[in-house]
Amino acid sequence: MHPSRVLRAAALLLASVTLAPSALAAETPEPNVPYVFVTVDSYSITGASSIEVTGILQGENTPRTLEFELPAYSTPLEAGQHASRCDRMALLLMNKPGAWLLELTYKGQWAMGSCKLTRRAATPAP
Amino acid sequence: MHTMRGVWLALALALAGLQSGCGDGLVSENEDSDGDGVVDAVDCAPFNRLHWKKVSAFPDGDGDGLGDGELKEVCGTDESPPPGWAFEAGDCAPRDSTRWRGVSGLYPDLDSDGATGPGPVEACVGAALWGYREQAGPPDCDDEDGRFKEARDAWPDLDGDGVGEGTPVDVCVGKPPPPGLAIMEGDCAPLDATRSEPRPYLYRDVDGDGLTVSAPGELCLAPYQPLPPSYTLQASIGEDCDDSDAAVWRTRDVYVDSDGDGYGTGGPQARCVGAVAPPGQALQGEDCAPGDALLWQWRSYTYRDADGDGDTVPEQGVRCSGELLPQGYAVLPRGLDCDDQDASVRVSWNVHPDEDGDFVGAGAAVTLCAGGTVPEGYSTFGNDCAPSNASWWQLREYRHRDADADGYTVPEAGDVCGGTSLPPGYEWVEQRRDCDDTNATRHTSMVSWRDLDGDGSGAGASETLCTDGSVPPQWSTVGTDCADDDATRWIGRNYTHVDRDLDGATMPEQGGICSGGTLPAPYFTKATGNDCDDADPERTRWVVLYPDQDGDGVGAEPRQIPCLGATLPLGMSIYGYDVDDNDPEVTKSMEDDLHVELILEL
Repeated sequence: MHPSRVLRAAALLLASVTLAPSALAAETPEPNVPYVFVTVDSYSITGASSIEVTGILQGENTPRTLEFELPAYSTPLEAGQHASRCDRMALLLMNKPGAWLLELTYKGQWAMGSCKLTRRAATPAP
Repeated sequence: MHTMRGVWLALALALAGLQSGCGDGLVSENEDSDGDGVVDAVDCAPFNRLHWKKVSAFPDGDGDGLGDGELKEVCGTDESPPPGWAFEAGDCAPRDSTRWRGVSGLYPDLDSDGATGPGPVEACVGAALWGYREQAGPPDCDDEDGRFKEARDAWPDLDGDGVGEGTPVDVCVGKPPPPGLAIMEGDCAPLDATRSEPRPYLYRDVDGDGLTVSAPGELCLAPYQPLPPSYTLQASIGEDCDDSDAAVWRTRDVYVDSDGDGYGTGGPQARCVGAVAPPGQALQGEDCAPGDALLWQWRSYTYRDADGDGDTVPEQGVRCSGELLPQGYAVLPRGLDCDDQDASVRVSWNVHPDEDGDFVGAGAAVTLCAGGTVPEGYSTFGNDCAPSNASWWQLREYRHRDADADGYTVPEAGDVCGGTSLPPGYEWVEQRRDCDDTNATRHTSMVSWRDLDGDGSGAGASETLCTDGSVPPQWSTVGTDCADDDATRWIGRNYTHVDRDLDGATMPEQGGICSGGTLPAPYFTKATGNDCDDADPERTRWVVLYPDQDGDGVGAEPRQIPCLGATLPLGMSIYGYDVDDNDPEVTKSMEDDLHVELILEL
């Protein structure tokens, strides 16, 4: 029996969240540009409403690290809840590489960013 | 006294013994009830041991030792009468125990202020001289009040106005005078309480015309009452010649004035007059027209207007006049009548012929005697720059010229004959600048570039062309043609992506090229995919793949990212979560899925 991939991914995710930040320097995403991750190698919560994702973007061949601000309109608690839903999407992507596409969009300082998870089978062939 | 008492006592005892021998034996004849040594039978006061003998005495009601009135027999002793009685009479104040003796040569000082009343007098006093002095003091004006001593004069004041008149009497200083007296003297109206003070005056003005006559006198007035208006101490300037008539006050010479114009004739007569002379008389003499009320004095004149047209000619003389000189005579000139015998002409005009009637003449000046306006056909101005053109008559300055009448001007200054405005072709303010004022079709300067390929954009050195407002053929106002020999390219454009292998996928590249309206292939400003090899049209993308050893369609780590085209290589999969890549029957773990569900439910 293989060790649990989920536990491994969760542990990796937890380590990413709690331990050292990614070695790659984080880029700031362009506003309103969707960043589609094919793989997620690292996922860090860097603030109440900010996350740092390292992985392979669709159409690229080298890992990149981007830090997304996902501000909520009201309270930091709501922002945290909003970001936690992105955490789960990242977990799914890390659990089953290639099965999902995670699309993150930074929509500006005062707008709520978005996290979108798409089944890979539904992705049209290039 | 003791001897008398012993005699009387023996007698009393004998009588008492006699009685007791002859009596019934109930009362003792020698009884002495009060024990005064006198038996009761002879004691006039058997029960008062102080009195036992009848004596004669006078009533002494005030008890001062001297009685008064009728001598009576009372029970006492030889040494002293009973209380209320005295052996001696002569009390001058029978009811006052403090006074009993009369003393003469005294001076009254009832208020004990040291000043005495009239004396000497005889007074009833006691042991001391209270209220009197043996020597006269200063006269006391009120001997009953110690506050007042010194006396002063007061006069009868019958009308009670505070000012008296008549024989003075003494009153106390500081004390209000008694009613009917006043401490001020000199009431000029003793029976009129409203007046008391004599007031002198020197002049009178009975008629109230402001001028006085000398008439000194005196009025009796109330204190502080001013003199009545017709009485004064100040003389007026000049004396009234008739103080009974306010209308006259001065003495002047008058003259007979039959026409009532204020000027008379004949010899002067002194009369008391006012501001004006009496009717039929005048203050001024020498009326130059005694029968004409409008004329009375001679006035000189220096100008004449004989024809009455309002303009004068110099002429000196005198004229019997009224307030002003009669019509036709004046002391100041008005105009200069060129013909004082003809009222229709009066002004000497120095004018120029005005041929075109524009009110500006030309030519030599002529002198005409005419009315008040410029003679017809003439003008006072002689500088008509266009004598035959009524629209132009004066030189006007211009700053710009439009010789070709195209509406565009060139700078040029000068003077030109015009009217109310400059004639056509001349301007004060610059219109649009004419680049060629000799040709109406050439007026606008345009900076242009040669456009050899005719694409609307020129190149090379610019030139300034004089045009009709439009760009000439083979020229352009734009000088940025980056390919002057190619009509399809004229502007530089930037690109950010290229697709050199024309496979439909671009890769980032920045640069600029000379192009036309749009960027030509393979240059783009937007990305299409991300070509992993722009030199090979068969390879267009990076793909994350996982080795799939068991061929079940799901691979496992480690991943690979090759440069590919549309198809995937065999043995590779886009999925990388095969939990057992050696068993095609197994790709996923139920335990993992359960863990995922658990985590997602947290």
